[in-house]
Amino acid sequence: MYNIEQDYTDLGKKLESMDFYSVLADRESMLKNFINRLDQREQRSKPVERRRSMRPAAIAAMITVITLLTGFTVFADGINGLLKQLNFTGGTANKVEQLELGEEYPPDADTKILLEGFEYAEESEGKSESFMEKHKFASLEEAKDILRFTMPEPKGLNNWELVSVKAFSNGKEIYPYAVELIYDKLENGDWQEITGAVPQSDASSSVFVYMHYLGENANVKIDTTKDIHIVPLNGIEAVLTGPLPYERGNAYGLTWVQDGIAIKIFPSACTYDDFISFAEAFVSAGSE
Amino acid sequence: MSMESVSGRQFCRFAENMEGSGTVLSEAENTGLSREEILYLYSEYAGSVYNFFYYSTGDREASMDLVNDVFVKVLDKSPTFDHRKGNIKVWLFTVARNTLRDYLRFRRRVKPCLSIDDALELPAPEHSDPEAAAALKADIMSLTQALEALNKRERSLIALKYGAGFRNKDMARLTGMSEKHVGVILCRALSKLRKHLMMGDEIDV
Repeated sequence: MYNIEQDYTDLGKKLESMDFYSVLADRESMLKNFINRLDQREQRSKPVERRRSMRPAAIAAMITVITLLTGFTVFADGINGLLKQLNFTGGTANKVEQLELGEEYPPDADTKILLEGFEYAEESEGKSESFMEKHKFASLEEAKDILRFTMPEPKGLNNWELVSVKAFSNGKEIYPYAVELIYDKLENGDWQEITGAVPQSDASSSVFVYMHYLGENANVKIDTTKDIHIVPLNGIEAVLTGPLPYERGNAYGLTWVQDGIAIKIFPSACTYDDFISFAEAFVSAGSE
Repeated sequence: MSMESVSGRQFCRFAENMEGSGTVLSEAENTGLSREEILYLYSEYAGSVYNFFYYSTGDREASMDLVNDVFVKVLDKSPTFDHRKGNIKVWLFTVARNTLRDYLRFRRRVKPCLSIDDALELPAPEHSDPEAAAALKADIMSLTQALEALNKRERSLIALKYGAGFRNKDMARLTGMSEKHVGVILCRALSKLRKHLMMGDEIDV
């Protein structure tokens, strides 16, 4: 009788037995190379301990944020208007209340959309293409199944429903993103793909998925969603988005509300420590 | 190791910690790894780190470079190693995963699957039996192609499980997922691999 469990066990054993290192690697040259690197490292460390200098990544982060600051007024005006539309008064200044307000989908007066769930789907090229194999979702359950991750519940939003799913990749730049695939919910409840582009993703990038929810109540606070962390910075709670420290590499975004205005910085590439130390200085300066 | 022989047992403080039981790098004074110690770690783990990278990238040359990158980083960061957060193998593969992530992020062009040219570049396995060597090479090629069918998360878990030799429990700790979730994803990944391997019918599963 066919036994699928046995089949998997056999495959597992097969994989365990695959020693690529013995078969494929040039072990001797690897070791030589490694020892050379150790030698070079020791040579470099011989001089008197050099003074710590600002690392290139930190400099890059600073330049990026300075650039952002120059365009900040325009950005802040837009967000401020949006916050007012949403009856967000900024009464709890210096405390994060809203994240990723629909910059690309400003809600109109009749729309009660407020919460934009953020999920991160690690997908390779093959998987992103599979999005195209399904041109619409017949149901929320099917959408969940296809997107293959657990849908974040929109906390604090009553009678919600998912109304659109956006998928896009960051193949070239971390920010800004190009929206490349959008699903919208139709009147009849079906899901329809409304753009035809396939997310151009490869194994060097990721496909991100944004989900938009419609709900009744507007004032919601995103507190726990995967990949979103509230970090204290000089007494201000800020939301750290993007990669987890030590888990997702070196791209981070930070958003907080200060004096009723949502502020976001998104340096391109730096280490987590560089980013946080820079953000601390930035938040402090902005609060004075 | 031909160039710098390392006596494994003399580094028992590491050996004790490799399974997460003992202490390593004394708590009071952690000055980092010495040259001999990092070479010992290299001799112990270069193979599993290489297998992890090959499972993750399917690129034999890049995997060789990445292995050395990892051990240099481990040496640099060893003064900050905190054994309370995990044994040295877990830490080593945390560094390996981060190195892999950086590599994938900045790799602009990625070969979607093993091309014929690449396949021809695979060295013939050292094997006394030519038929067995040919079969092994075919297996590696099939598996490398089948791995391309997995998404990043599935591939990462397969790499940790079968490349690095972790148990599901350790993988859960490394990835921040629940053990059950790890099991589910692994099962799905195996199912995909099995399907692709059987379709290719080039590997005996």
